[in-house]
Amino acid sequence: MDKDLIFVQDEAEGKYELLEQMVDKTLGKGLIMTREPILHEIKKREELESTGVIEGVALPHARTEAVKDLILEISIIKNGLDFEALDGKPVNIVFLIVAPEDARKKYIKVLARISRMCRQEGFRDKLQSAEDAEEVYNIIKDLDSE
Amino acid sequence: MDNILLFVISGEKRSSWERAIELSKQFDAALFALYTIDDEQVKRIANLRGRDEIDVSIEMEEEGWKYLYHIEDMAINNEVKSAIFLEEGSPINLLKKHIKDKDIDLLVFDYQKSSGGKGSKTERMIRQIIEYVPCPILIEKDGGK
Repeated sequence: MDKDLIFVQDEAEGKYELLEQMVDKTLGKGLIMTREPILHEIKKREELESTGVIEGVALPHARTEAVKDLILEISIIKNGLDFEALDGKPVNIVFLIVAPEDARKKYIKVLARISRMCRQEGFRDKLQSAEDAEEVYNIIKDLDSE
Repeated sequence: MDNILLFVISGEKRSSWERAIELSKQFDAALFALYTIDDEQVKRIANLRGRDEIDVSIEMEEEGWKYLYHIEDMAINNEVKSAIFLEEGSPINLLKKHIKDKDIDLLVFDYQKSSGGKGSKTERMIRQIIEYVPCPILIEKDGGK
């Protein structure tokens, strides 16, 4: 997990604007060469599905050959965001996972770890009240090492 | 019919997955897929195999995501709007909660005769589902159409 891929903000303009912002960050860090195939894949999936672990958490994801290794990004939106989920509930925490097609095993392991953390009592509240990326990083690191 | 809930019990690709997707497409309904990690089952397996409960739970969780992502891929390929959920707790209580919260019109799951017979945990769970779930149920007999 990379601290530079964690965002803490009060609000987000919209679901796709947030996802674009997250993908652009990976572009800026040189983790991807081009944003369009990744955004296309994420949007295609998001139009048809949503992944629920616990209320308030979204797990947009995509598998694409446009990335060489799995990328995990985290956004905390303190005031919540309408993520157009089928259950209609807003989200405060977004974990974006983009992985190459052949990294299915790793992808599932990462998902399982995220969902396990999200189900821990108080985890969501801690993340939501974090002030910055450093704090989010430490909360996750501490829990992951338990 | 607007909302269908597929209860993913276990096992590799099952006929209920195809049936639920087929029905969702036919009725233009949203498909919700739910996999539960039964905490009682985790304890039982851990005791039986002399393993740590957390390890058993992690194994079940990874297995659950594997199934859910297979279902999600199937739904996307069929242009069915879907949402997948993995939760830990009592399967019956979680089913009731999801059915109520999501205003489910139909519950779909597989029935596969277990070697444990009528007294087995799965058989008991199926009887409880039939008894307590407040919506129509479609039980797909595994392997048969």
